[in-house]
Amino acid sequence: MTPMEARGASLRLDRLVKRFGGQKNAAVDEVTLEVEAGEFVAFLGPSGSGKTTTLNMIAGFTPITSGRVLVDGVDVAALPANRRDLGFVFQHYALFPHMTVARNIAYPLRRRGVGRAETDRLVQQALELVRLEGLEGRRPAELSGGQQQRVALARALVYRPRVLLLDEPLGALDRQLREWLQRELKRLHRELGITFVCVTHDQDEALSMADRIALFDGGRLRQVGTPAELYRTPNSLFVARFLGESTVLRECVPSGEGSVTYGGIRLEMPKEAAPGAHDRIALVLRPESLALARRDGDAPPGANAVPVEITDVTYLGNTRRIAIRLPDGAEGAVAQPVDDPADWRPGEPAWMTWNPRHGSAVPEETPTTERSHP
Amino acid sequence: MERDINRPATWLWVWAAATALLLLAPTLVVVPLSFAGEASFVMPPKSWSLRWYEEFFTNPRWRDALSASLRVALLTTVTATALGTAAAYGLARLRGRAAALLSGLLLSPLIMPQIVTAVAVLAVYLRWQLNGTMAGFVAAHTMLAMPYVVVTVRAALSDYDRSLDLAASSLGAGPWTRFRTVTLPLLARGIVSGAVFAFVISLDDVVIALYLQTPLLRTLPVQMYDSITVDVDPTIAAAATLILAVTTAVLLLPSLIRSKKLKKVSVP
Amino acid sequence: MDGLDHVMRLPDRLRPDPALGLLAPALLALAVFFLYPAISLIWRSFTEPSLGLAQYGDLLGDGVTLGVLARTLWVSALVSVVTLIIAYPYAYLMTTTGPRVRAVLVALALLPFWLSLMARTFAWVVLLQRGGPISWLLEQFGLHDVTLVGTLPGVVIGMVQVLLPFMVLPLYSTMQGIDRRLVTAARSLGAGPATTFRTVVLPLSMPGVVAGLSLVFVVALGFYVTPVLLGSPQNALIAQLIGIKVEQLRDFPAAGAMAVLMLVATAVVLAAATRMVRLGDMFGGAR
Repeated sequence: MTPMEARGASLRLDRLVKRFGGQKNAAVDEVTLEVEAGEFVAFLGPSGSGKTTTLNMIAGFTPITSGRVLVDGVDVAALPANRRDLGFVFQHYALFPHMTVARNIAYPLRRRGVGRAETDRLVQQALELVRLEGLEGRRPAELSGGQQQRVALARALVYRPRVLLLDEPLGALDRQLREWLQRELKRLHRELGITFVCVTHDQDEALSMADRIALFDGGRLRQVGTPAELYRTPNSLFVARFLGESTVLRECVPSGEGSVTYGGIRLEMPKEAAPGAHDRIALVLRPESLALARRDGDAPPGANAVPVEITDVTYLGNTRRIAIRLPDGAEGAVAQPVDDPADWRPGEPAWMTWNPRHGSAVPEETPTTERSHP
Repeated sequence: MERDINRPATWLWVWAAATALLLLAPTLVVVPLSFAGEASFVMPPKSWSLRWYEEFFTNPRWRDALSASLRVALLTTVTATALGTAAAYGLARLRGRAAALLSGLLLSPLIMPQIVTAVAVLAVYLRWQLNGTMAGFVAAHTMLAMPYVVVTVRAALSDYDRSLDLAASSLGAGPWTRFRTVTLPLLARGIVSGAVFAFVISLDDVVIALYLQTPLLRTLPVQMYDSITVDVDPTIAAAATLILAVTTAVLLLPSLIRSKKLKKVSVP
Repeated sequence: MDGLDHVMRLPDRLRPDPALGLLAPALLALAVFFLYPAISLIWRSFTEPSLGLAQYGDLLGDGVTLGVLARTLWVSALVSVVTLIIAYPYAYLMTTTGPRVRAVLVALALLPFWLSLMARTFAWVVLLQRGGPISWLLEQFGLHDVTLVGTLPGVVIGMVQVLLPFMVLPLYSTMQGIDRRLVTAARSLGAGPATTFRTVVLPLSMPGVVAGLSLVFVVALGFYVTPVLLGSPQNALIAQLIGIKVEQLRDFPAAGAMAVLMLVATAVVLAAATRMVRLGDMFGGAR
């Protein structure tokens, strides 16, 4: 095991609310979430969805309007940021420009009254952990973006916080560096065993790093689950659209046990994807679970089929992305393996087919989703 | 509940308010005193009147001082702006040590204590018989004001895109046409603020004016100086209030022009 | 034609630069109306009445000048420190408030520039006079019959007010460059408000502190009108002494010698400050 052993803490957000002065809607609206000790959770969502505000409330940078933040069962809402003992990695690193790398990393140790020899030892350890040995005498301005990011990580980890909060930690880096640092973050998380909460607006980042994703929208938590759960069984149109590509069959009307009608076509539904009490549902289909057939009869037995028109074909390495238009005019996409000999051309009619088990039903939303306030 | 950690502490507000009061104090004295009814410097005044404004505009000593100040300031504005703009434009074409040396030289009147400048200029003016002359005043004030023009025009030039010059040349403009049709309009704001600075510096100068003055040419600050040291004359408060009003107007002028221009542009 | 042009063309460095044509009028005026008078004044201090350092010997030996110079340095240092103490929290507040409050604070800080120097000095004569508002205020605290006009404290108060903008503006521009996230970062790493200020804000604002201190100090060294009107000949500053030499005695060589002493003091301060700012830049330069 690594020398820097630290046990992660559990984190619980209990009906957390943030209301900024003079604004009608809450920036964070009754967010409740359990994060297990040692878990890696990503806060994902569009900008302005409340994910960063939530993180800032956990860290103590923003006062909480109401609700509780519990670290290992202890409410920390009343503690100022400097006494919460959480680690925080800032989007633009926030390294102290007037201090060397070593002094930056030693900063939290000095605040905690750690002795000189022990400080030196821990700083060295932290540098090894982020693989920056030998750079302790440099100033932040003399480092590359990726190196600065790793110094920021070392500084936030050196005092062994039980929870590490990361605010868009890789947002300022180019793609290659970002992918490498994503792996580094996962490695650190694995080695240290502490709880990571990472804010990001990049779905790939969330999907590749996190154990679970908490998806924010409009100040509310829309869905929490593993990347696979969110991808396969989104609970709303918003989640389906935000994560990955999808073809959505709108305005499906339930027509008895395990089936719906879509524009007069009867479609089978998996039992567990029950539309519930909704009188209208939308069916979400992922590109890789769709196939194309020349004729209705070519569809595999038991599969659903909907007539579509091919609009575009794009090669993407090991798949072809075939853009389609549904009967109601909506756009969709089918992923076709490149070894599939079928050759589709824009303008051709086709049948889109899929195994009923791969569709997921979500409540239909009226075009005007804003609830009116009487 | 903890505070937002970026919110300033209460004592900072108290401190800032006290500092603001200190900054405001002279204005709070000068303006009321200018409306005083009696001929003393007692604060607060016991009665109110406009007699000191009347005095300012009717007493020949004050009127002559005002007209001398305005003439000196206007001429200084013209010479300092012309010389300073040309110099800033020339400086922008130089590089390295020569540029550093010449700009240091051009700004040197800023560093020199004014009393030294005043005494030094007086010494040569006595020989050249320039003391108490309009030319002498304007020349000396131009030295004080020119650095401000150089600084503001240089700042405007640093934002200036050199490729516009190349574009104008490629479109057939000669050096002078290019300067007149492209450079000058783009530098206008810097030149105007330099000119405003020059005007205010000249109008405000008292040290050099004290040494160059003769009974034939006395500027307003000299008259104000005398009204404190020689006779207790509240007209100075009226003069100061008027200068404050004029300075405010002149300093706000560029931003007013700017906002008007913006409005014009925004309406297609 | 081409060949001739090639032959006729002077090497680049020998061709007159058009920039010089633009600079010439300003430089000529500067030479005649500023550089020549200044150099001539200094020259006379070494050559009149005879070549040598007699003027300087006289000044340093007259039992007055040295004392006045020391007093000037002391008053300038005091004024610089007091303005720093007043301006620092003010400038800090400017960087932490919203744009509207900041605009008001900036306008207030620039206010002394708007009121003419004579008007400001006159206002301080009124404020500090016997029976004036300040002495009334002091009486409320049990201090009776305090006259500040004609005393050094009076001079210091007046100079501090007049010079405050010179301190506020460099401080503000430096502090504005400090990334507010560093404050947040320090807090997340365990530093309380006071420690955050001491370890982050203060070191990063040092270039502004040095710039403000040296600016105020240098301007204060050469201050003339305020000490003349608020002080008295008994506690004159060096600028006043130069004025007296010229007004009463027309003794330009002696005035020149004093000017040299003042300029040397100014140059020493500026050189020291430049070195300190460079040092500060090394610390805060990585922004």
